[in-house]
Amino acid sequence: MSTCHENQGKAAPVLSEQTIVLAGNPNCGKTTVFNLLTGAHQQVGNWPGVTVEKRSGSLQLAKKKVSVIDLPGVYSLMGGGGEDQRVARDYLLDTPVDLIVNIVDASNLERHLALTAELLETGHPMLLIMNMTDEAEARGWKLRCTELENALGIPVVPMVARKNKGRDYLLQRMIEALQKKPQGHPILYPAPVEEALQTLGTTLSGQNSARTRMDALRLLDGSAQPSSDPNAKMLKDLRRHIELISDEDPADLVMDRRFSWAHDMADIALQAHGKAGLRDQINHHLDRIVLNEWLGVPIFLLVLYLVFVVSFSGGNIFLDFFDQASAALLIHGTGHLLLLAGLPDWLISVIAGGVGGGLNLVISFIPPIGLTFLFLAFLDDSGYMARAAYAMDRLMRRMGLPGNALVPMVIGFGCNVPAIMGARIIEDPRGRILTVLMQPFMSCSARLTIYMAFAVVFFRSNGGQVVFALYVLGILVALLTAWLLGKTALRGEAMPFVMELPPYRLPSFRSVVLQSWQRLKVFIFRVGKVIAVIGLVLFILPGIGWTSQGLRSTDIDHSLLAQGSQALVPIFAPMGVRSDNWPAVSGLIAGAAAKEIVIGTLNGIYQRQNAADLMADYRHPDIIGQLRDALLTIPANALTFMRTLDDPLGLSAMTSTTATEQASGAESATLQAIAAGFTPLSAFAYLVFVLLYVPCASTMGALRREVGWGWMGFSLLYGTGLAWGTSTLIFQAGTFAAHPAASLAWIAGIMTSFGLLIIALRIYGRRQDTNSAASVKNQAAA
Amino acid sequence: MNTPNLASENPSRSLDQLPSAASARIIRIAGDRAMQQRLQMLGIRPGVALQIVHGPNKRGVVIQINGARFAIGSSMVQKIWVTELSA
Repeated sequence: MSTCHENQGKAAPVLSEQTIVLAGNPNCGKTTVFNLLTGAHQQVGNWPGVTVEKRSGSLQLAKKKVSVIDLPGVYSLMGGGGEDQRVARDYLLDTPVDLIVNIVDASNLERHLALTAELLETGHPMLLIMNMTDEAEARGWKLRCTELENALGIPVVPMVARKNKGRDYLLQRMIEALQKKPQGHPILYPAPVEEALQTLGTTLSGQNSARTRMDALRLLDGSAQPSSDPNAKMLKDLRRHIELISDEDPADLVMDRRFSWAHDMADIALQAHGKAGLRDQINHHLDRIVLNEWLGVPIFLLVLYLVFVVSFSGGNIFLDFFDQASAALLIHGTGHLLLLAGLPDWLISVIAGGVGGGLNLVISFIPPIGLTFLFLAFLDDSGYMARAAYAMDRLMRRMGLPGNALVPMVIGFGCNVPAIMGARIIEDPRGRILTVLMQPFMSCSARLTIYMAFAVVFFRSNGGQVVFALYVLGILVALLTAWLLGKTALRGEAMPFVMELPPYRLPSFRSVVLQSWQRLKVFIFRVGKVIAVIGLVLFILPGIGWTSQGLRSTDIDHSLLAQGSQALVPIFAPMGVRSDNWPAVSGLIAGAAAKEIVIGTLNGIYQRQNAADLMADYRHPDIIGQLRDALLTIPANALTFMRTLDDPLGLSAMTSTTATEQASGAESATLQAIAAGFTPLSAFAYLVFVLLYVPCASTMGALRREVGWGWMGFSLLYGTGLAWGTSTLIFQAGTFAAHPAASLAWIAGIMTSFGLLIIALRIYGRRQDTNSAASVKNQAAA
Repeated sequence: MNTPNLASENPSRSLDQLPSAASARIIRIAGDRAMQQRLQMLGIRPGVALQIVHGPNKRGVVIQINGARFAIGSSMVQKIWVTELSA
């Protein structure tokens, strides 16, 4: 069915499947429609070459599989946008597309139709979804879909995607449209512009007429630069010619034509019908509170606080169940089965203890991490995030950052890698470098696993607060870093803030769940894979050691791992790592590669240290009993959750000898070993180190790609130094009474080094300033 | 071209000088080409009527154009020239 387009030249695969592309403005409900169409059949990846998130999926239409691509949300294909815009434009112009499904917000039709005008110019078959018709009606408008359909020449489908209204009708119209290929009536510009486009087109080597026309339009309105001097001269002449005839700038002519077209179409589609209703008022009142000059920032912090405390405390209800049930099945159950199968003991302890134990730890963190993802997806869809960015703008600006730097930071709570890439929404290069360098300090979900394990042991009753404190510390360090660099090495001003504030919406349950499930799935698989491999490596490393006879199989305390880690322990001694606690150092070494494996590493080592008694568990496992106990933890923890509600700050548990006692009740050998190796203070200092030092190898890779080797190297050294300095400060301040002179020396030393760093950055910044001033002078002279 | 148009019945002034809840029409947008293009893409362009829904204050202003709301930071607000529309 999919006929060859004239533009199939570019390495397109032979398509047996038809391709539907979803396109629309940000906040048009595109992702909700995508989820509605594809359900669980979707993949999240990246667009080739760039790091804009690509979502694709599939759908059964008239008994045939059709693939669905979700383009990034853009306001225009022409110019003024970032990487997202280029991805959308290139895809629509250079790839065979069987149907564009353009989604518009019916309550904000005119603005959204401006993109429709551009999409019609791509020449692909098209269908228009008028989404959120309920909101348009609440605004007092009556929709006239048939009239709009006639005017546009393409099918128009009314929908309320968020409430799953209109899906069947959409599917039916999509089947029709794939057969009939309605291309609509693209707009024509005033005659002088059309002539200029023709002339410009002859200088371009576009692969198809739509590409040529778009490139010509972008040259004419100044979005693109001409490729050669003769072309530049020609363009200049054409512009002057148009200005002479029509007395207007060609860019304005093009834009005016498109906007007046959108205005006319919106007039046809909407009939004023009544007065704007309740919905606008709700928006208005909510905005008065959320955007209030004094309340904006505290509200944002409160929202973040609630997200993490509720995720942690709520997750706690199920954490023990997930932990104990998966331990029963993966460790004891698997171990028993392997024993019955007659495998040797060492292999059983690798598979059940190493791999199974590692997976067990990941699984027990599913409840809190899943809840965090769920809340963040909810916030994303509710319309609050843009307000938060605006509310924080002034504060961020004082740090030399634009308000929308907040968006990558919030993404950074999930994972630093997409956060670094998300910094591309910031247009000016200086703001982007600053934002990118902040990201490694945002506490990602992998680090959360480490906090959780330690919180379970040391801070069980006030874990939410400790975790929140770590998140806040991360944010503060990130902001201070940006401020410091902005004042010294990267001086300048942030670009002005302009952002759409989408109306508040109650997000679709289905969409939020699907979105967070996709992220959780990626998290589990990525972590699961790494942990399985590490389980194996960690079986070998602690098993061999350097002895007087060379490399020999030894016990763990004399292994290569132990020898290496013990050699490094003195470095970490000032922050409270005791010399017998070398596994903590091994964890940090592994954590430089990926934070997910810190707990896995500790687990691998401690499992081996306790290998003997584990084999007994495999011989006579009481799996049914363990599962029953696991199930019983849910009501018990729910009760604790309800009780702690009236002490949300957990202040009564702050004097935390009780916390250490509770730790002895922790089941797994790993948690017990953690309890033995740390005090609450040194545990906190360790967590601060984990928060601030090298996030992981992938983050470093992303940094290099975005800001180059130099800044990556800076980030690596700065982060690690800061981590060591901060955790040493915390530990030394906390144990000051025990050894005041030594503590004072450490604290003074750290402060001095930090001062030296600031001076160095300042010198670097001055030199940059002189360099750029010199180059400006050179250019002026040339 | 760079001076505000004083010929219209209401004098033009920058957006931050409007009272809250005022309605106005955009006359001109100053600033560099990239910024103008970015605003234009959002539908913030000369000739368009807007209503102030929040501010102006130190942070900036929130305006409504047709159905859409936009937050504009204080440094940009001074570059948008409008004439106030009488209610």
